[in-house]
Amino acid sequence: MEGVYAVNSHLATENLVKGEQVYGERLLHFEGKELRAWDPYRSKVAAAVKKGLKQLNIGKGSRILYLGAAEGTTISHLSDIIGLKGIVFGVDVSARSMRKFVYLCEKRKNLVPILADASQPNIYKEYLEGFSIDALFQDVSQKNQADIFLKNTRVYLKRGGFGFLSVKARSINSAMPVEEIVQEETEKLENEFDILGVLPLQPFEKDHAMVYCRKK
Amino acid sequence: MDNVEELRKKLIGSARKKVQEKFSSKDVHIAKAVNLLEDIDAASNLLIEQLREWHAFHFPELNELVKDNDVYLKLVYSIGERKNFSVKKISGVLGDENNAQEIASAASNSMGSETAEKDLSEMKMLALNCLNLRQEREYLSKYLEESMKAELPNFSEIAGAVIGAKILAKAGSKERLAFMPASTIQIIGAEKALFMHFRKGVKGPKYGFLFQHPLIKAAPFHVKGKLARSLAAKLAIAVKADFFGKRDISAELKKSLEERARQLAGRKMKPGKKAEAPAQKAFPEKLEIRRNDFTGSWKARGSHEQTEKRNGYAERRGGDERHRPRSDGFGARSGGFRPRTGSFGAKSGGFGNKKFFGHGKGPGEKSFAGHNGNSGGKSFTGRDRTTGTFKGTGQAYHDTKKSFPRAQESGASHGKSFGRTGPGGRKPFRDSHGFRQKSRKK
Repeated sequence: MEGVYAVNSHLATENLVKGEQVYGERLLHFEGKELRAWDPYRSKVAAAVKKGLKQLNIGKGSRILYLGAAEGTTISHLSDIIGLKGIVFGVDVSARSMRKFVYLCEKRKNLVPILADASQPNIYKEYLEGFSIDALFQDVSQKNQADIFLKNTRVYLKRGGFGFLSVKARSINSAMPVEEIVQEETEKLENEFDILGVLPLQPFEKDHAMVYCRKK
Repeated sequence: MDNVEELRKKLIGSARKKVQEKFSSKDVHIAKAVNLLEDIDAASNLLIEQLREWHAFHFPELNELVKDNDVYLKLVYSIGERKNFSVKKISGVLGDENNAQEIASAASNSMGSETAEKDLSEMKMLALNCLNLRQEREYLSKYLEESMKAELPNFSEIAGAVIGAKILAKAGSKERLAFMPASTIQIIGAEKALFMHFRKGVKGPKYGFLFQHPLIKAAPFHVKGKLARSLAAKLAIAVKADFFGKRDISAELKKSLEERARQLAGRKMKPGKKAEAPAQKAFPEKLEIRRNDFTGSWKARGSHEQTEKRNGYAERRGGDERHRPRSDGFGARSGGFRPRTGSFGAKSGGFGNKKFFGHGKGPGEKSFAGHNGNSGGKSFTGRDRTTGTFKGTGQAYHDTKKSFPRAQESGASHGKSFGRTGPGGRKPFRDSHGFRQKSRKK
């Protein structure tokens, strides 16, 4: 996996901004490189990798759209992986968490904040014009997670691009079994995506699953 | 790529601006203040309870004799040591000879242990901090009242500052509140019950934060819902007047509301309504949940007949077969609960403001003076949504003097008593009931 290291069973990415931590994670030194430990308990993408995701299919120069950026914990690692030639657009509605993310964006030259509602992709269409998105990550706690994902991928994700949808089962239905919810959500994607894998994120994340797919 | 860099700069700028805009409105301050108010209540009550327990090692009689928290705190802070509790000193704080006499004689004949100066000074410090916390609460509620009046004059006039602020905080902003229909305002603050209604089809809530409104509180039970509806409608009008105009229409609205309240109060209960009235029909209050010692399974106790009676099935018995509860206790809404322990995220004293817990001398003597009486006896604690009553009022000690000894007896001590006393089990099994029920059917 490009840009992702495994040091003593820790996942790590090479620090883009030397000597700086983003959220208090451990800094590891390995073969002269500075690595930031990637905590699977805090980042769903890391959890998915731990649970057997073989390929992230992103690397130096990738262009990523990330919905549900929050405070940028996961995004900071993606930004490590893609390097300065790539770019990540982080979308989030919450002004409160965007505040921290903006600070992060100022430090990391490959991050772009967008304060907008991910369920209305047309709002930020003008900013993304001319960029073909290689991978789309989504981690939002909305009821219509699959719909938001589809709406965005239709507009932005290039053909053959990869989608990573982390399904928050409890935001969709608080009573149904998780497997059923995830199944339902996955089925919604099947028309437009090849489902490459569905990874339950236990024990790192409760009632979550990562759906990993490629646009047809 | 310069292009990208430019775009990035632009978007960072716009995100910054948007964040700034979002947090520049007055609403956010009101929302913070009202949340803080609740937390301060919880925290100060928690601390006072601890202090009472602690100081009672030394002077237990004081704890029994003085129920008023403010008086207690002042006594502990300014006198502290038992042997210093002279009539003169006590009445200096109390301004009341009779009680002073009583306390002084209790002091000379106390069951408490001798306590070192060092321990006592620690208690005094805690008392001071509690006093300051209560002072802060007073300031905060004054601030809240003023800012609500400035922001939403009509709305806060009818709803009251605190309830109004709670509704505003939940709504998110003034604008969103102004665009809300009355029905939403009516049940704001009862989200849990509302979603339970959607999901499991239990009865919908009639009121959220509005339940605390004096008008609703005063209304007889059977018209509470109706009155809440009217109140919410008037509130919706008021907030629109505040947001879109400048006119003061609160007097008119208030007048017509009071008229409506009078009209409703005169209404008789509909025949048959009484049987239905206690909304607990679906979830009988008295059912005891016990762990079966032999099988280790949880089940509801209480005879089948009882359940039937409560559900109003007994009368209908023999009529429609479908309405009869299943005899195994798993019939619709009659049993088969499993309490989910530790649910309902026990809202343990969220210490909003750490600075009050430091041992620094704080604002000290100055803030102590001019601190008299309690703070109006408003309570902001958890409401048992299902029974529709309030419990564990934040200031139980001096509001309802009667409730204090009871709370003591039942061992409702440190920390856990906030808003969670009262007939237990109701909330938990309402939730888990529906949950279990559904999965079991499948």
